[in-house]
Amino acid sequence: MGEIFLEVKGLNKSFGGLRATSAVSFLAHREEIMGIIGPNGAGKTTLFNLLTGFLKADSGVILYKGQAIGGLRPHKIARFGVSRSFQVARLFPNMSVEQALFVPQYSTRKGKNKKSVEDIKAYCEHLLVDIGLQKKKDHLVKSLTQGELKLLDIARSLASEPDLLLLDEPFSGLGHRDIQPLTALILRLRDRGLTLLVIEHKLRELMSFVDRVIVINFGQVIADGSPQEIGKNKTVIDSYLGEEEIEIGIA
Amino acid sequence: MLRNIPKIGLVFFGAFALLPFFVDSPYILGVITMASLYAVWAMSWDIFSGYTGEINFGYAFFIGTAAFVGAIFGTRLGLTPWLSIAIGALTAMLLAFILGILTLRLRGPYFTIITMAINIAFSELALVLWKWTGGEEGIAGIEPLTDGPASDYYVTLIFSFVVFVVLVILSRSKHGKILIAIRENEDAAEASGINTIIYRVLMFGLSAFIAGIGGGLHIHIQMHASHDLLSLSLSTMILIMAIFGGMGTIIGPMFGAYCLSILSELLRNLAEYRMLIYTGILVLTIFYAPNGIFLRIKTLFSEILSKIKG
Repeated sequence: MGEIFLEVKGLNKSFGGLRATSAVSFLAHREEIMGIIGPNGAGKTTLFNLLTGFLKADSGVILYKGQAIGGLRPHKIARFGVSRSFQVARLFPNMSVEQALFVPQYSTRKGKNKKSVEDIKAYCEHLLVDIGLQKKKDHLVKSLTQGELKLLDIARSLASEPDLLLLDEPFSGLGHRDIQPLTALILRLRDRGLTLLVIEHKLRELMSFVDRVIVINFGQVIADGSPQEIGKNKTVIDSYLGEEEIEIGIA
Repeated sequence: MLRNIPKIGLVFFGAFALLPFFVDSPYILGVITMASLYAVWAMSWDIFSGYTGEINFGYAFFIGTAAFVGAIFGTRLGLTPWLSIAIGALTAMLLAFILGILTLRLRGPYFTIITMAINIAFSELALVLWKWTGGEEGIAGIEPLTDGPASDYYVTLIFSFVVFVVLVILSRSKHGKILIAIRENEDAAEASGINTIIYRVLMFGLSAFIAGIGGGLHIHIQMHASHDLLSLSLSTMILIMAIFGGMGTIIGPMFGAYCLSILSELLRNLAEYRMLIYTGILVLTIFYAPNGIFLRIKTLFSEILSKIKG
């Protein structure tokens, strides 16, 4: 395993009487793809919101490359190299697809040199090729389909050149034909040195490429291990997977 | 950089620059002088509200504050017009920074309501502090800016042109794109590494500074700081001019301000119905030209041209 990239210790967050995350702790290593699974309302997206500064934890520690980032505002965390996509794509509807990718490039990332306009254009063009939207680069974002918006949101999160990428249900809204190339892209990103956390409900697809999985239920981490270990974990089977999922082949 | 300036805007200002060679009526020059100030206010309102999507419903607060601060410094301390204009505008900018830091974290209608409330509160405060502000009478005896209507005309026209060029360049730069991104989706902009609050506070300050210079020019041209410069109806009028012209375009609010200011003078006999007429125009704009009259006319011209070409 590579060096520890992200260390989460005892993360708690409540909304009134509801505990959204309860003492969540885990480690993510460099160049690792970690899946985060669990039933709806388990606290997965809340966890992403805490990691990226969209929510403030009540208590707990988030260390990114050894530096505490908990409680910082989202743009500061993004400038450290932590980027995310959203469960429902959040983009800039009246911009062109290409311009939407320029925005993250305009922010000043710590330790990165400023690019010229030509370099920014070339970088974004390359991203559009990666994500398969190069033919739509001059289209308005609001004219894209749900699946295309999802892909563009991922491209937008990549355009800030992160080292740690958090993808929230990247396959939702995508057809089978789009999932395969996206999976291939995720693997390529890992090979380029990125660490990825991926929330996903399409378990068969997720389990095919992740290195490790954590399972969250009622805001708590109930299991942490390889896809094979998770597939055999009695608690996970009882509380989330069910026998059917085992049969479809994640174990 | 200047290649980015819309040609129609250059033609517009060029035509106004030539006007005094053909028209020497002080009344007409006075109308266009005031229209230039309204254009400045509509454009500077637009660079904040049109681009970030946060509607400032109390813009006259900045205009009036700068005007009265400038008037007090000018009349009581005997400062030169340009110095008192600068002090007034810097005061407006400072207040915008303080107000922005305190309120621009709020989302939705709260910011709009607060700007409106502050406008009303300061308008009332100016009446309470009548010993300083002259109450409803305002402050008279302010030193003129230039030696006559023609010079005032050119000062305001040049200022309006400079504001137009600067704001168009700013809006088309990467900073303009970032402002649009903030308006379109603040979460996505933050997640992209953009400090959305700093951008909004800076634009709020810039918008207030330009408004303040306009307020200062106004009192030196009128030689009187009127309490109306702090009124909510002035805020509303500027907002209507910007929406009528086309928010988020700079050229639209400039165009809208010149059109409605001149229309306002043409309908002078119906002065008491002015806000009613403006409101009617606003409703019609929202229904028939939601992106503003400027874009509507531009589109119409393009369609006519393409039909002629065949």
